[in-house]
Amino acid sequence: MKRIVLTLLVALVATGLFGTTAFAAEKKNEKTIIFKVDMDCQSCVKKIEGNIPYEKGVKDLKVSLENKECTVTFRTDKTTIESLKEAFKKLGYVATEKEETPTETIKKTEEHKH
Amino acid sequence: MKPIILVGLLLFASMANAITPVIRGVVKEKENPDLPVVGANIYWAGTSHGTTSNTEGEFEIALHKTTGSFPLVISFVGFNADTIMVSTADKSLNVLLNKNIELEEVVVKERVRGQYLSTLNPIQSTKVTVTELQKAACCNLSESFETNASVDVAYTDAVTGAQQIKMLGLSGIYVQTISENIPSIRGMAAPYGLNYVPGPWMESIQISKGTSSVVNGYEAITGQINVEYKKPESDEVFHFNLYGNDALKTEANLNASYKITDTLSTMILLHAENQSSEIDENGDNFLDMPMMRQINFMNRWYKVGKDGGDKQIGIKILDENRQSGQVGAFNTENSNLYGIGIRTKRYEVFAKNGYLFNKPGTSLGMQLSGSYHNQEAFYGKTNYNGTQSNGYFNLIYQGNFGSDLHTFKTGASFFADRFEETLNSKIFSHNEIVPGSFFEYNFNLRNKLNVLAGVRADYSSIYGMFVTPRIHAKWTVSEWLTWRASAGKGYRTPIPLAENNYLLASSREMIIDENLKQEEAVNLGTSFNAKVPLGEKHLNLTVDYYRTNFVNQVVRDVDSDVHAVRFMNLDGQSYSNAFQAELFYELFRGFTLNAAYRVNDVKQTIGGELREMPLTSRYKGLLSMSYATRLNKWQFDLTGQFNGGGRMPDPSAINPLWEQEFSPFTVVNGQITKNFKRWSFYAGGENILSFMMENPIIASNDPWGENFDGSMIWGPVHGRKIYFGLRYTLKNFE
Repeated sequence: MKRIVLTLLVALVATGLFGTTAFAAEKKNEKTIIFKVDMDCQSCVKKIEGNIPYEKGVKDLKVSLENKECTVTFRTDKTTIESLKEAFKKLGYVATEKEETPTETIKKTEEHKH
Repeated sequence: MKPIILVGLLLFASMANAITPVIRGVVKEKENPDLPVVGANIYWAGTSHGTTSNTEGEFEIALHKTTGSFPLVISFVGFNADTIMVSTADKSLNVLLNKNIELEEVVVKERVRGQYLSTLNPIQSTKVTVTELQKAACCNLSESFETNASVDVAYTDAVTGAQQIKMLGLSGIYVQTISENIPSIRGMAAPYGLNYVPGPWMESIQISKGTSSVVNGYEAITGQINVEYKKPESDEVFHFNLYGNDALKTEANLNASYKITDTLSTMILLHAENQSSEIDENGDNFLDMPMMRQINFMNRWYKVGKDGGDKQIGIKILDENRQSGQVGAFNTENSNLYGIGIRTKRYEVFAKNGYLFNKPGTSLGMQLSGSYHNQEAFYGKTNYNGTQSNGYFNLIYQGNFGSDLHTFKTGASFFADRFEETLNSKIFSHNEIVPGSFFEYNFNLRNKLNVLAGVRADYSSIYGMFVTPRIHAKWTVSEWLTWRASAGKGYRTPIPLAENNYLLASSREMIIDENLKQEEAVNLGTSFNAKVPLGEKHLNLTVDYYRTNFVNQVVRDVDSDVHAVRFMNLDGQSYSNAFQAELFYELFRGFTLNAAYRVNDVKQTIGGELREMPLTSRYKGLLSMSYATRLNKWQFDLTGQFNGGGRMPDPSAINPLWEQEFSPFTVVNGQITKNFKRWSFYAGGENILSFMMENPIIASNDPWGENFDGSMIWGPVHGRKIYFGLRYTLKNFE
C-alpha cells in the first residue's frame, strides 16, 4: 500500500517536472498571435475549436467569444499567418491580426458606449 | 422502422417547405435608449440560427416558422440576456437590454473539466461530463465512477458479474438512479442495471449527495444519480466506437442523430457487446467473469414546440444473455457442472412534454414512462423468473411569487409497480400503486443564499400515507467559500428477492420474512467548498459529512447462519456516518490532480447486536491524475483507488472457511488517448497491479455442497485487463 502511494507520488512529481519544463519556455520556432474573428455564437467557438487545432503547425489555441478573439500559437516553419487566416476563411470567418495595443481594456469600454 | 422514418421525413419536410418571412429589429440600452447595442447575439432559443446586431444596433433574422410564436434570445456581454416571444404578426422589434453590473468580470474560457461541483445548485452535486467519461473507455455506467470519490462500485458476487454502487458506505438500493429524471435502475434492474447503460450513450451524469429534490420522488436516501443520454439536438451527428480487451470482450456502439427540420430531430443509439470466451485465471474452475451478449437500442424524437416548450418521445429495448458458472457448463454435455444463465429482456417507452406560459418563469412539464422487465434465470438447480412492469407519471408546474427571488415547483405524480416472481415453484407477487403530490419552494437571493424546501405526500396501496420533507440550503459566504446543508427523509419499498437474486449463486437458503416494512430513513448532511488561491490557479477543496439514520430497514443477515441469508425488519439501530475530503487542483496547464479520502462508519443491528456492516470498506482513498497536451491531442489518465479493510460476515465457528476481516487493497487504472479531428484511439488497463481476491468463491470445488458461496466478495475477482478502442465522431458544426 505504502509502496504504491510512493510510486504514484514519484510518478506525479516526475510528470509535474516534465510538464513544467515542457511548458515553461515557449518552444523554438513558435509564435503566438491574436486574431480578431467575426464570430458571434457559442457554436462558432465550437466550430473553431473543432477545426483550427488540426491545421498544420498549430500548437495552441484559445478562443474568447467575449472579445471575439482567437489566440493561436503556431510553428513558424510549418505555417504562416496568411494560411491561418485562410483556415478561418474556410470555416466562414474573417480573421484579422489584432493591433498590439496595451490599452486594450480601455478600448473595449469605449466600444460598448458608441 | 424504415417506412416510419420515411413517412416522418416527408411529413416534416412538407411542413418546413414554406416561405420564411424575416423579422427586423433594433437593440438598445435600457438606461440610455439612444445608444444602440452593437454586436448583440440574437438567436432562436434551442437552435443555432442567429445573427448579430450591426453598428446601429439593427438586426434581421429569418422567422422560424410561418405560424405561432417562438422565443428569441437577445444577449450581449455586460447585459442581462432577454428572451422575447416573437410571432409572425410582429413586423419589427424594439429590444431594450438591461445593463448587468455584476457581470463585469471577464470570463476566461478554460478546458472543459471532467467533473465539477455545481456552484449554483443548493444540493451538493457533481456533474460528470463526456470528458471524464471518456477517461475510462470501457463500457457502461458501472465504470463511470472510477474517478469519482463519492461513488464506489463493487461486484456483488464472484460469479454473475453483477455490480452495485455504494454511496455513503451504504448499498446502491438507497441511491435513486434515474435517467433524465425518469426512474431507471430499480427493482428487477437493481442487480444488473449498471450494465444497461452503455458508456457512449451518456452525455453526462449528475451525482447528488443526500436526499435530493422531492420533485423526483421519495426514493433518494443517500443520494441521487441522474444519467443524461446524448440528445438528438446536440452537436454530435454521428459517433462510432469499437472496443476490445484481452479477455476477448468486444463492443460496438453507434450513435446517429438527424435533424429533420429546424425544430424536429431524432437520434438512434445502438450498442452490442459480446464476450464468449471462458476465462478462469485463478484456476478455481469457475469463470472469473460471465460470458455475455447484449444488444441495446434507443431511439428518441425531439421537437421544439411553438411556444418554446419541448416535446420528446422515445423507446429503449434491451436483450441480454449472461452465462457463468463452472468452466465447460455450457460447452460440454456434462450436466453435473454448475451453470448460471440469466436472460433479460427490457422494454421502455417515455414521453416528455413542456409548455412555457406567457408569464416569465412559468412552465408546465410532464414526464410519462412505462417499462417492462423480464428475467429468466437459473442458478445451478434453482430456477428464478421475474417480471416487473412499471408505470410512472409526473406533472410539474413551475412558477414564481412575483420575482425570481421566490420560485416554486408543484405537481402530482403517479407510480405503479407490478412484480411477479417465481423461485422454483414458489410464487411471489407484489403490486403497489402510489399517487402523490409535492410542493417545493426555492428562495434564491442572487445566488448568495439559496434555500430549497420541499415536501411531498404519497399514498401507497401497501403502506398507506407517508410524508417526505426535505430541505437544502446554500450560502455563498464569500467569493471563495460556499457552505451547504441538507436534511430530509426518504422511503423505499423493499423487493428483496428481485433486488438480491444474484445471491442465489450460493448454497445459502434465502429466507424472506413476512410483513417487511417500508424502508424509512433520515439523512442529514453538510459541506464546505473552498476555492483557495494557490499559484496562478485555485485549489478546490470540498469537505462533507453525511449521516443516514434508518427508522425502518430491511436487514440482510448473512451473519447468524452461514447456510442462510435472511431478510428481516430492523430491530434496533442502523446508521451510516460518512466523512469525505476532496481536493482538486490544476498543477499546471493541462495537468489536473484529484485526491480524496473518505471514512465510512456504517453500523447495523444484526442478530440483536449493533455491528459493523459486513463487506464494507472502512475508508477509501482516491488519487487521480490527468494530463492533456495543449490542444487535447494526447490525454493521459491514471487513477488509484485505495480501499480500506473491513469486516467479513461471520464464518462458521466449527469450520471457518474465510477470515473474520478483509485487508485493504489498491486498484489502479490508466488510459492513454490520442485525439485526431474526428478519430480518437485509446488504450488502457484496468486493475493494472492485478490485485485479485485469492479464493473469491467459497467451496468452489463443490458447488452442489452446503458450503458453496459466491457472495463473500470484497475486492476484484479478475486481474489486469488491457483494452484498446477507437472512436469516430462527426459534429454538425464541421
